[in-house]
Amino acid sequence: MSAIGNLSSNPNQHARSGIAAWPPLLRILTLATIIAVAIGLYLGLFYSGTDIDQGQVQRLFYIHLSAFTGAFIAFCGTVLGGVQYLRTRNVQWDSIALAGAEVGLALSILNLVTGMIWARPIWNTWWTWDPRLTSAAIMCLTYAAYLMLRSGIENAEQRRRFASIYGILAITTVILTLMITRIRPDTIHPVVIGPSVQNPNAEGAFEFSERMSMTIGINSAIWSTLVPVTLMWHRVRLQNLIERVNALKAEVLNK
Amino acid sequence: MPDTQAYLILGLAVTFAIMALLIASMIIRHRNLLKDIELLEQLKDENN
Repeated sequence: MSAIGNLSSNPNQHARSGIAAWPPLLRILTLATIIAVAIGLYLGLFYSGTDIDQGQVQRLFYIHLSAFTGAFIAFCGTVLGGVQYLRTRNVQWDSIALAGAEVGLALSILNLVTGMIWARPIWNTWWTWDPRLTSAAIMCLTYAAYLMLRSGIENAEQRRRFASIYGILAITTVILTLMITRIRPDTIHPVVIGPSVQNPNAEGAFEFSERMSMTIGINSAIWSTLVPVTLMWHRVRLQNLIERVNALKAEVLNK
Repeated sequence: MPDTQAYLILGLAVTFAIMALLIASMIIRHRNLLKDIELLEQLKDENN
């Protein structure tokens, strides 16, 4: 648990000096994330080459897929945090679970919206109730509900226990979204990577050039490691401040 | 090749907006919490 303890910091440190109070590793990680995302963006926009059938909009795919990989890792953090909280009752694990849900939700909304924008010129519609799109929307709503329901429970212990169980169960929506193009042959969403029972009516698949494969690999690596970890670390620190405020409120009110 | 550049620009704008919103919300909440801590510490000292 000491590793988790290191993720947090003394809340008083925040009050003293803001960014200067960040642990050195967090400062390095934040800087590395900004640089890596910029490099990934550069590769996607200028290096990968333009798809002849889809034109420039195909480049959104690098963000679309990468955002989903980031969301997946963040939601795995929610499961890990939930399981560990139920085992140990250590509040830090609950903070990690919450951070995973919030960061994962933002990244999955990004995945959904970039997909919609890509779909407009390629499928000629912003939205269709395709199995993949529907399962992705359900996934987003499930985690939005996690955050709303969490804030609706007054008792802290009850809230953490409920959120842990909900967070563990909610991963099923992520797995369903991941697998649905492989188990439902009627989806029009292309299966870009890996074998599938792809519907011949699927639209929007494209041939990978060597440069495209490299760009996808690098972007996915950045967005599935640096981006969620850095954002979650910052969110955990924010949660520590919230806990500190709650403790102070209780202290002041009890006097 | 179809001209889909406008959609790429829209997608990039939305990407920046969503990430900026997430980061800004964290910064704003952080600032508000620091103010709360300062106020609560003051109240605690006054009570003592």
